[in-house]
Amino acid sequence: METTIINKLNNELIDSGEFDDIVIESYNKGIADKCLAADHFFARSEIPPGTAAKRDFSYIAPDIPEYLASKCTG
Amino acid sequence: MKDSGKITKVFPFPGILTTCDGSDAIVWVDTNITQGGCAYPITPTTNMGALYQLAIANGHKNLWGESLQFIEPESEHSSASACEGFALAGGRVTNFTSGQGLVLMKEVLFTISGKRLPAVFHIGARALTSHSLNVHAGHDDVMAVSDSGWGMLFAKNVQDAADLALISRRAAEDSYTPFMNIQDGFLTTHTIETVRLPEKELMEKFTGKPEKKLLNLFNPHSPVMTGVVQNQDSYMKGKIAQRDYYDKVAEILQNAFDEYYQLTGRRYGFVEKYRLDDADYAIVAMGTASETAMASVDWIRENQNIKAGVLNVTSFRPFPKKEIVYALKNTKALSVIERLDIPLAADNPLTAEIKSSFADALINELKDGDSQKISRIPQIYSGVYGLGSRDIRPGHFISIVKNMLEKNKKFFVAGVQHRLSIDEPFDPDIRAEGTFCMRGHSVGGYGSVTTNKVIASLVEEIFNLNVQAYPKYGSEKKGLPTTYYLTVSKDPIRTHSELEHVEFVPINDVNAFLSGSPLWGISEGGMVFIQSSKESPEEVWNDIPEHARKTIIKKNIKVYYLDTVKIAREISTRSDLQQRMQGIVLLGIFLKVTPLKDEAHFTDDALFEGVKHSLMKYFGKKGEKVVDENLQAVKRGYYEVMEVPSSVKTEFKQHSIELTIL
Repeated sequence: METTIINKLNNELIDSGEFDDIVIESYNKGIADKCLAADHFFARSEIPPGTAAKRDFSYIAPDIPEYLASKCTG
Repeated sequence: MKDSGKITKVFPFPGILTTCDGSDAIVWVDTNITQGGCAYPITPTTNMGALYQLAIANGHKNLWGESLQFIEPESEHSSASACEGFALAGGRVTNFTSGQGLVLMKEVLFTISGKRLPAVFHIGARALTSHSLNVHAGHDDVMAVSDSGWGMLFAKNVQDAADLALISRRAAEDSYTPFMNIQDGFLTTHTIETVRLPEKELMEKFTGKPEKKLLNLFNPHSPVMTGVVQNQDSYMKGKIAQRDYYDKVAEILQNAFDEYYQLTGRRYGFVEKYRLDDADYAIVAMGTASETAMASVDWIRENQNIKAGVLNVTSFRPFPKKEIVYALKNTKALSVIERLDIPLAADNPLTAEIKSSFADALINELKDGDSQKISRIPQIYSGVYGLGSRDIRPGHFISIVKNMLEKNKKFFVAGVQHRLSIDEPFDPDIRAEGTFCMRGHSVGGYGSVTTNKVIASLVEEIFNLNVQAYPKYGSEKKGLPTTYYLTVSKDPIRTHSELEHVEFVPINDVNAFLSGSPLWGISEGGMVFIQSSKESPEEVWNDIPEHARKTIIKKNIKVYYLDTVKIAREISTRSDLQQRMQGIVLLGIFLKVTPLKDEAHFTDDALFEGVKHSLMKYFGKKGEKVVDENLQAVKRGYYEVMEVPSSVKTEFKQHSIELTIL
């Protein structure tokens, strides 16, 4: 892919840095719904890779279920 | 450039003068500028896919030396999805579809536009199956998807279809918005017309190399997630934010129109005004009917002294509110005619949007803010016509204007008998002076349709005349009656109607006289050719029913005959081609009995040189032997056709007279 297209892609579709700083940060703070405007990036709603790593869902079901092999079927 | 004191602008790409149908035109453009096609065959766009695949099979490469790809999945829905994938990977992709196929795609059309993928789909607009199946022209398929976020441009003839293929591609890619390039099924997709195809250099310059124009969203070195799930916090934001893209589409499309004009001299716009400057009454339409209306209002102005005009709506999406109001605001009344019917709607779609546009203008709310406030809205009539390619003729347009003059039916139908009908039994011959028309009555599979195409190609190439050739296709195929039409004229041919005013009627089977009226509309002094195995003119004459003989005598019609079947059998070495070759013999007969050769002062040798060139165009790929056999068939038709002399043409059968004498 030509450099110019990569730049165009980054500029028009996603700005990874801005996505981290603004979008993920807003979701992490719980203010995304109210604060994020219907801006240019929302139009395509493309998401950069690996963003899940930047969200903290550790409070959801923090306990790992116990594996009981004897109760498995099949 | 100066010509007779006038300064004439020279355009760098005037086009390649040739003859082809709307399908050929699309394939010419898209095999040169695209990288791939994904389509599923459906009448009447099957030809486009087949010809695109044929190009690939022949090793054709696009203008940038890239091999083309074609995917034919299991349905139109899948073909649209394949196009979505192709476009997501940064490919320039095409699709060809119609009717139910387009409607089946609808779900995917939204995701293509939502992801801002600038694909272009070519549509042969076709009536949707409802109370019955019909494969012919209708606009209900495209209107059924007009809310899917795509640009929609309508071609009124083959030239438009070719040019708008490029314009829609350019506008799509510059605006990240997919476009449909729409032409009337069969009426344009299968009609041979004189056309100027875009040059390769023009296409390369105007569209540009795909990889420099398109985004690759499937690049593993720069990955993105697309088409995600969004809930209440995000979905509406994305949908509303898409207006940033849509707000720019009109300006980008206008730029494409303007640049195309600068390069080619062919001017397109959101709408095309015809004789509207001083018009009291206007007809508004999309597709082929617009051009028939243009020819009709010329006749209406000249013969009925009514100031009538036409507005051809080229761009349905974006919808040109402002342009439509400006074009029509000074008329007393306008009739919007549509090739579909949605009885439970407030109005059919074009009418509804035009009424909305006028209402906005009246309250000074036109979007651009630069509109003049209008003080009145013209009377708006709405009509339905041409469903399933029902013929729409000059007589109908005369009736439509009369309906406005008499302030009669606000909603009407044209072309069928019904309580809403406005039809008048009056259909004048509005053809340009010197126009020559042929209406053939044949049987599917006899090669007549191909012959008609060859004749059209030949006439354009050798005699430098405008042509229009098309068959009256049915869903039924081989073995059933087929009617085909050819028009030849020094002037552009603007009517897209069945031919009811003709000079020459070739009849492949004398039984056509029993199942129809093949002499309907034949001109005084016209000509009939009858395929006949009979050897004497008396026998040929006696085979013609009495009612037809009366017409022949009354109108002083010349009757020609020949056993084209016998000639085809004697010439063709391939039994599978003998049936079709009888049609090619007719080409020789056409050249012999029509005045074209004499008017152009052609020698026989020059004529047959041109014939061979045209035959090469259609049969060259089948080998030199096939071309030579076809040429021989043409020559035999030319030299062996015979005329029933006047002395034989009596109203009563010879044997009847003999019986009386006995």
